[in-house]
Amino acid sequence: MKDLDDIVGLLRAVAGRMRVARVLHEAGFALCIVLFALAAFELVRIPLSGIVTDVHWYVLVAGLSIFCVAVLWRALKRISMAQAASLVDARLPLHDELKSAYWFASRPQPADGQGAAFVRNHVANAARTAHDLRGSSIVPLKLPRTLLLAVLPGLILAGAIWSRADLVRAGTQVGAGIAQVDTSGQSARSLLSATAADDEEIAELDRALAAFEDNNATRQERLEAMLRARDAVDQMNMQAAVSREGLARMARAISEQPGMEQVAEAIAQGRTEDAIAMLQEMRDELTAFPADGPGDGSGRGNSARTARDELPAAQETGETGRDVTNMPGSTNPESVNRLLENLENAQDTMRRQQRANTARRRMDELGEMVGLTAQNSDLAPQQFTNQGETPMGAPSPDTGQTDLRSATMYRQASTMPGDNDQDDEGSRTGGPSGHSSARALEGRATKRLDAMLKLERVSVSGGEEAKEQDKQKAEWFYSASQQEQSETGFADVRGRDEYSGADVMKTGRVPIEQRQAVRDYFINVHEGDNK
Amino acid sequence: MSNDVERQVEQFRDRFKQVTDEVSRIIVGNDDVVASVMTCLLVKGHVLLEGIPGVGKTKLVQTLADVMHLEFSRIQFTPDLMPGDIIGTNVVREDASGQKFFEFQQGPIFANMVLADEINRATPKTQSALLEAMQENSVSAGGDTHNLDQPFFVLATQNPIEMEGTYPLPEAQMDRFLFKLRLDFPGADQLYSIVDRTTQQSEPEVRRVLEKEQILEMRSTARAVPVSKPVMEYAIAITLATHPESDKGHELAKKYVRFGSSPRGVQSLILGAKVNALMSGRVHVSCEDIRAVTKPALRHRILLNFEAEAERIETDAILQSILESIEEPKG
Repeated sequence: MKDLDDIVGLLRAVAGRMRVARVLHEAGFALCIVLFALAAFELVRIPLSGIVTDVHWYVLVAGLSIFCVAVLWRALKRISMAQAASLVDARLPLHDELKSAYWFASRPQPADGQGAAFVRNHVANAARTAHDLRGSSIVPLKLPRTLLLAVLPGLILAGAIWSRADLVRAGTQVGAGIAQVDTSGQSARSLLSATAADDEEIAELDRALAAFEDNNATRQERLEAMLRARDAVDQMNMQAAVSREGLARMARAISEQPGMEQVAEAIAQGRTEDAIAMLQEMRDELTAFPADGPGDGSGRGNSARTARDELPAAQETGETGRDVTNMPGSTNPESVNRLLENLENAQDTMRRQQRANTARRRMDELGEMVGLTAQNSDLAPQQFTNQGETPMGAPSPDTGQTDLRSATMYRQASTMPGDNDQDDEGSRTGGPSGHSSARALEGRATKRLDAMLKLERVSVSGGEEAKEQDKQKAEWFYSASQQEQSETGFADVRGRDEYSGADVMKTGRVPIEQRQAVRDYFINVHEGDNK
Repeated sequence: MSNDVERQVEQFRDRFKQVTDEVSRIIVGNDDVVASVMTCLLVKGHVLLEGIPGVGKTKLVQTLADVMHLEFSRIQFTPDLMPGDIIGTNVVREDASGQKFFEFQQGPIFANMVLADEINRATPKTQSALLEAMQENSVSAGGDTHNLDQPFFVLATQNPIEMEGTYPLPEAQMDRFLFKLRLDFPGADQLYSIVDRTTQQSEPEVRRVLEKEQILEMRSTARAVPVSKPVMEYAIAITLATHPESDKGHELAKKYVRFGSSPRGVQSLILGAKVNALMSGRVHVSCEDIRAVTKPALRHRILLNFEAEAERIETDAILQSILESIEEPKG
């Protein structure tokens, strides 16, 4: 009996240690698998944030939980004495001594005979062997190698979590980031506050910026907000472009009016404030010294009779100048007031454009900070079209740009007028063949292009020769009229506005402001040929 | 009691070693063959020796008989050998009064150690007479049964070449042999020793180190070695693995084996393992002992199919694969 106790005592100790060792091993294995799965999930989650949802996370957690339970169940399975004996026999090695002796000892022994003596001798020998053995020497407990394997996925997971936490932190601090980037201490939204609050585009941009600056916004929501903001800014840019062209036409119109040359020159050179100052001075003079009648030598009074009633808002500025031109006679305060009003509106539009663009640039910079609009990000211009590296297939004289990589400029430059151009705008920008499907990122078709095309198709009230020229040019998409001749010089283009070349280099795209300037330059060159 | 068991085991080992040492004075190399032959002798088994001519099959048996002081007889099997030439026959004798009577004239099989040389050259009828005696330890002649003296030990030899005109042993009769041993051609060093020993003026002589009673005592000791169930399960698993129709059949067995080992195969494994355990100084049989005797105990009990014959697959290769694939029982 004592022999059996010695054997069983050793085997129990070994079985217990085997169980602990198995639990350690299985735990290490399970940890390794769990960490691998979580790390893979985190790595996939960052680039596929729009696809991987919380449901996937719950499924993963549920699967891993089931896996861990299964592993735990397997690890905690009982280890029999015979299994422990086999392990001891194999490790020492004892040639099945303990296994065989335990089997004999745990069963009734034959009472007598040579075989019984051999069995007793065998069990006694095994008991002596077991008495001298320690479970710790047979099954030493040590950390399993699977735990070492778990280090790698653990590091990957930690890195992924840290980077995600960094993104969240960056997203949380977007407002603060805006303040840091903005040297003037204004946030992107605050830049808009100076503009008309009831403007639709401004309101849309404001909402987009609000969504972008929301601390609780997800990455996907910020992406969508950024897209909306860009769309709104594009709208404002187009409106500003129309306003500039209207100013150019206004300048040409009033340049023929005696006494208005300096005002026209100031408008043509983009010195709107100077022009406004001169007009205000002129209005004050007219108010202080009213004209005698329509036939006044100054020729300013009859302009007050001018009434524009048919032009849309986009061309109102330019047509105001035409009023002055078309109505010979003296200039009256009412006419000047209308000029002033339109000038101020145009100036307001351009200021609003500048502020919107500044807000957007800062939003882009913040987007880069938080990893939304890096060079290779989702919003990189190369991804708007597969033509990012190649010149456009259908160069447009509208802008003179044939190889700009910006998505917006593509849309502006390559869209051809047609019956359904509003609907096809996206598809026409997709590929050189113009038959690729519209992409959602490009947004809905804009009205600004339609407005511009109408603007550029305004027929001139010139002579027959000019009409003939217009007729010939009508076959081409762009038909510049004499009234559309721009006085903007190349030097003005270069020094115009605060557009930063560094911004181009930094963001890998051509901002709308720069494109507008280049467009104006080529319009000028083109119209200069007609002179 | 424990000391008595240990004394028996020690005595068993000493005697075993004495025999093998003496045999090795004549037989060069093939120590494992000598030990296997001794094993068969000590568990009431018989041995089939296979080897090319001149490798010392007959010499080995003669030397063993000399060393163990056993009655030895040799039967040279030929095609015209009759059963009566082996087991003996009734002859008419006349007593002093002139009365005639039949008297059984014992054949050469009535010996403790019988060498059946080139057993495959005799007809099946003659072979079966010997094999009956091997199984029953008795012979029947003229309506009388004559028991054979113990220990009765048959060593049959057969030549794997010159098979023309031979009568290969049927599988059922091959099964009667506990072990089938192969004597390989000796190496250069062994050949040097053979030539050196056998070309002198006097050949080395052996002394008798084992008496008949001692052999019987050793047999008793060997049979007393206990075998636990896990070890038996291991032997059974090996045997079942040779059966192509068994669920536990090995992959190679299913492909190349026509018939697997008989239950005598398991008996051979256990009995051989017992002697092997005693020779290792243990009083219990381990799986290692089973492995040690697997090939000699099972190689002649496996009948290969035509595909194996065509691809020259040998039973030893199949058994080796089986041994490598079967795990020891974990309890």
